[in-house]
Amino acid sequence: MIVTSSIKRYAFINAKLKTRLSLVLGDEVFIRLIKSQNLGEAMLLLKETSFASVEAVYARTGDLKMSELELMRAEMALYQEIHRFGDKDLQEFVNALLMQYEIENFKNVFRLWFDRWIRKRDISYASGYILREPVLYTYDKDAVLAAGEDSLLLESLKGTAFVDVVKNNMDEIRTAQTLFPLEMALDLLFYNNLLRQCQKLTDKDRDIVLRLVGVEIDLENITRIIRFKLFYQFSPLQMQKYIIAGGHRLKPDKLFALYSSSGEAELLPALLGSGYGSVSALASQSQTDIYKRMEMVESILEEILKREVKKLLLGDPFSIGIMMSYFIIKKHDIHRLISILNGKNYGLPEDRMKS
Amino acid sequence: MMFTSNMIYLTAVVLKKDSDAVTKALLQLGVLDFVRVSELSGGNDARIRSVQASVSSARIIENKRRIEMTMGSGSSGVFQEVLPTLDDLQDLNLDDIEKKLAEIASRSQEIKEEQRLIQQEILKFEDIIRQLSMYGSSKSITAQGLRKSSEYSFLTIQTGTMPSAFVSQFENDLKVYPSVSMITGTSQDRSSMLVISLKKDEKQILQLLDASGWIQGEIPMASSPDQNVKENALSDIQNQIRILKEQQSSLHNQYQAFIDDRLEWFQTSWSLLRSNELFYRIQSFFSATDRTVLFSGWLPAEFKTSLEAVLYQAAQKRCFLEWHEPGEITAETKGRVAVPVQLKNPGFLKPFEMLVKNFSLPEYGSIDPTPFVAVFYLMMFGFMFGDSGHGLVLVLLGFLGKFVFRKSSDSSKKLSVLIIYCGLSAVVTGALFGSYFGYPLFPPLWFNYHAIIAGHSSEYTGIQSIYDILLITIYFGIAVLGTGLLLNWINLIRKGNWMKLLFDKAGIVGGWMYGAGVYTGFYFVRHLYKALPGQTFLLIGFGIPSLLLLGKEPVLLILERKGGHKEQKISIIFFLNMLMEWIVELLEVFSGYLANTLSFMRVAGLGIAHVSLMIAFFQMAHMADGPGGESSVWSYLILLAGNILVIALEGLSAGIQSLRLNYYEFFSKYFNGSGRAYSPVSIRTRL
Repeated sequence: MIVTSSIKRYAFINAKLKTRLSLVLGDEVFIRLIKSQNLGEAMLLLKETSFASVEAVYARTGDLKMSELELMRAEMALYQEIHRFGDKDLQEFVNALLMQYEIENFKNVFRLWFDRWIRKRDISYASGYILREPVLYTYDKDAVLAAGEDSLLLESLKGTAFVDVVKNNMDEIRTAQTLFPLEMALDLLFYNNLLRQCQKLTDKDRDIVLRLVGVEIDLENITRIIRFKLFYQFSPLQMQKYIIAGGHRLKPDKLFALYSSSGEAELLPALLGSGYGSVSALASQSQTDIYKRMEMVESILEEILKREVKKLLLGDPFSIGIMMSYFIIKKHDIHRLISILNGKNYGLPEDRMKS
Repeated sequence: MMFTSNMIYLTAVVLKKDSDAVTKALLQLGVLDFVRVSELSGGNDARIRSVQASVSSARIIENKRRIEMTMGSGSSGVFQEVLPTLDDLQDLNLDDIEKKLAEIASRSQEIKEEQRLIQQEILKFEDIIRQLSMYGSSKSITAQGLRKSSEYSFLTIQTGTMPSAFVSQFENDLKVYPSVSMITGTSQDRSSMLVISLKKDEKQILQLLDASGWIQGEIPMASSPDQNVKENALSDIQNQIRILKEQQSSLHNQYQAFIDDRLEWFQTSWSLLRSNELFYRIQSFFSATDRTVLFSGWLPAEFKTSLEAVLYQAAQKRCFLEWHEPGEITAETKGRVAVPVQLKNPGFLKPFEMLVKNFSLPEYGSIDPTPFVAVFYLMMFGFMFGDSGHGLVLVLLGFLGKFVFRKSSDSSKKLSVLIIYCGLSAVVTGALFGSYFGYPLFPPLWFNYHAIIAGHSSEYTGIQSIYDILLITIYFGIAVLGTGLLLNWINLIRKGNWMKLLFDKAGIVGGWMYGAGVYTGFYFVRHLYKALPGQTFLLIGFGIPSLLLLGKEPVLLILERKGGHKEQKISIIFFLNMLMEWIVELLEVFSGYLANTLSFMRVAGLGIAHVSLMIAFFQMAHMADGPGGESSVWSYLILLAGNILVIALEGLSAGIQSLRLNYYEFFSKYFNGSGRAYSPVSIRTRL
């Protein structure tokens, strides 16, 4: 019975997604994008790919940020399409995944609000780059931007999950003039909601999602911890406030212990050694430049995720694994694409874009 | 046409000073599929070395791609390849091309930057619209209300009066800022005005207003009590956005015109790059000694004389050419250097050649299955899709495809022709079955398929039931498999593989058992499933070939010993292996052939489904008829939708199933798809 329902649930969706995987941009396209002479040429390369709409927006407006907005729409459309084909439980889970875009867009809106009301900057044209169509919550983004007082701001967010998060962080935003705690709290909101929704899945699907989301959380925590150590010199207690629970191999107490006991140089090998021994050898490559070290960390973490995704793609074809893999691969593709296009726009050298 | 083209191998030595002329001659004739000399010798001859190209091929290809991409962004939307000629092969200055491309890219970016700036203006205006939209209902708001509400928005709204004579100049100066100005009334020589702009531009706007004799003040209520300021402002902004979008679109057109104006340069440069790319590709296969250049490769034997002539001419007879038969090369290189395969079929068979290549290329020297595929594919398709009307639609769609894809790739054109052929086949079988869009417009030339499925008389005594239709397809399957076996035997005889010819599942022993199986099957059915042929027949038909199969391993062993190969020990394991292999092979022969033959019943299955669907749609249309039994619009619509659905669904199914039967039932009997495609370097080679 369980077998029948999982076939019913995933046969069509996964067959569709497996076909779509052939449209994923290969490494060859990325290399050509990196090697293109300027942004215009890079965009022309996209004309023959599944990202043709992005090129069309650029050809019409000449505006990279408008193309990025199109990419975000394309990315969300993937989830919305699966949402249409899924049953109720799957739809709820897809909504939990879609939450990341709602949060991402809210962060963009709130950064503009912050620029306007706290930093007193002009945001007139920048406000054109936020996504106004509703993702999960229907709220008026312009009302948020226009809200100079806290009460108006909270009123404009009524009905969303953001009200409490904003309310809890408002004092720090105004006094410390930083969005850092708010953004961290929003990330926590996403992961907590996702882990909660996981509980409604079948045992097999839950195991897959917990593993994959757990790996993502591990990677997110590793990135944060390294940044805290290298750039912010946070104390272990400060660090602990921003750690996400639910990691696959790196639990908060282990992270705390490693953060407390390791110096800058030993932290990454120690973190990887505790959870991801198979790639820890990569971390031994010495890099003195702090940014190069971060790039190296990110590429190692990317490699870890790739390995997990590869395992899932070769696994059960009637499970949530294919869908999760597809989302991760596409997300990775889109983010890499955005980085390269921005790199081209700002004339970054090729080696900076390879990372 | 029956077999793959005969190939011949050339090894040539020319003087270094003649190498460019020889390269051009090779490029022009374009028949040589190059093999590096080092591959022949195994790569360990220290006297010869590779020829280093003076220009980087990667750089040539990169620039060529850039041109293709940029040309594709012109008004045509795609890069259209025009084959280069030898005249295009001039000295190449990559620096010049790169410089020109950089100039074009730079100008393109300038245009894009202008578009981007306009986009930002549009965004600002759109922002003003959003801000204005927040000020209550569009019908009730007045200038005063608007002004009062602006304190929380990004907008600044000024109300006051200015001398009427200055209005025109002020409005002109205001155009550089995203803004709206409206005259709300005139009194004597002063105009009452409302100016909406972004807060960040407030300072500059105030300066402009001051310079125009502006007196700040409320708009007199009396002059505009019901004036819908918001509506007017929105309309004005929409208009400005429209103008900006037109400017943006005009810049896009300007960009395309900029690209189109340079098409001639693009085309010339592309041809120059392409011809040089091919020239250096040929030379990359060359090996050299101090004074000579060596090259080698395959060509169809029919071109031997013409290649010889052009090489002698290019090298002014200062060259040495050595020709080898394929067998010599494969033996000498122990199969390292594979003989390429060229299928040579007349143009009308090319769509079927595409189907064969899609599966794989046949082994060199074996039968080219294209003509057989053409016949069987069309017969199967016709039987599954037997309706003249539907066939005619496919013919029309095929011609439409040919027109639409006239500038596209070869495969799209071939697919269109294949659809035309399939349509024609359906037209013929439709006439045989008397079916025209499901209607029996004319009497069937063979039997009435629809009548059989509907349980009526077929108008032909030989075929009266669905079982008769299934039987036709089984006969057809036996014919296809029999042809496959025959082709396999021809291939094996040509290769001199006598062991396989005798003992293989698709060899003589296999065919012998299949023939006996077919006879036994029909005998069994004819005797109402109660009797088998006599014991003598069963012994000859199955017993002897089975015993021969058992003898395969010992015969192989004897031959190996005679051939001086490593001896396999005769032990109990050997006999157990032999026995196991024998049992497995027997099972494969019996179950495999049975499954292969019955697989052809799908031809009848699809045909029955086609007719059944049409009958179902006719019944549905009948149910939608009017009260007096006259046809209604709905019944016509149902018939139209039904026909479209059947053409689309059944057309696709029949096409796929015909392909499947060819690939998995027919090909599995004789086709060895290990061929490597013949791929000569020619100035006429398309991308």
